[in-house]
Amino acid sequence: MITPLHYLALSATLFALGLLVAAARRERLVALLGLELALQAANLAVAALTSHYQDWEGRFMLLTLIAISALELAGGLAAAVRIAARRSRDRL
Amino acid sequence: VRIVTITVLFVALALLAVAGACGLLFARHTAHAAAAFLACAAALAGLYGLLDLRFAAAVQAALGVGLSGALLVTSLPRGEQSSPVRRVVRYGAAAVPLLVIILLAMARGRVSESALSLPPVWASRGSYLFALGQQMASSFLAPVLLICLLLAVSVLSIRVLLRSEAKPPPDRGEQ
Repeated sequence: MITPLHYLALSATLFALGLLVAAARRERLVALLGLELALQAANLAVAALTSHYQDWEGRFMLLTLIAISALELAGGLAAAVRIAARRSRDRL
Repeated sequence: VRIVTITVLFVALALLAVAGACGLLFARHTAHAAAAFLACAAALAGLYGLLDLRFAAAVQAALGVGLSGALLVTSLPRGEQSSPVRRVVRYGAAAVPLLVIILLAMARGRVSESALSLPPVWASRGSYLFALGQQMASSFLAPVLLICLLLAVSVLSIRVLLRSEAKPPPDRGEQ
């Protein structure tokens, strides 16, 4: 039987791994992905508690958090494109 | 049967998420890190589906998986070493977690229709999505509009960031 505690344990594990990635990796984009992973782990904890308590406000907060984390990822994507364009221009 | 199925799915998706996180930690190339993050995003979308948060699962699958897939494709090396066959293999590997999520959703929908009598997935009256839409248009209208405004501003900012990079600086030395 899967309880919210299982989700919370998984969320804590992913959060710790995300922070570890952000602290240990030197590449900015990978560090950003680590922070993104930590944020998504927090989203998972919110989702588990929201589903357990059947709370509408928590569901909207979860959707907001998912949208914000996706925007962060889009910002990372833009940064990646910018860095790649700058590198190719420097090679020329 | 349902408890065993959910337990097996939870363990599989949790293992996929932790494996993706470990892959993110040990990846040597940005494309590998993006592929690992793609696996994490897909596993989280599946976990949202297991929690019966179908709309959140769909948003996570569309935004998280889609954006990390785009990041993966963008960060692939574009040198002479990457042949078209290798590119197709890499794109296919990037699409595998998304296919897993779609198959899981299809299997869950089939099970819910036949044996488990779960509520319907899509927006018939009285369903989860119908209630969510009602709440979005009534109680939570102001925060939803504010979030939409913030999202639009952020997307426009990213667009301006990319456009300013695409413009080459004027070269006055030749004149």
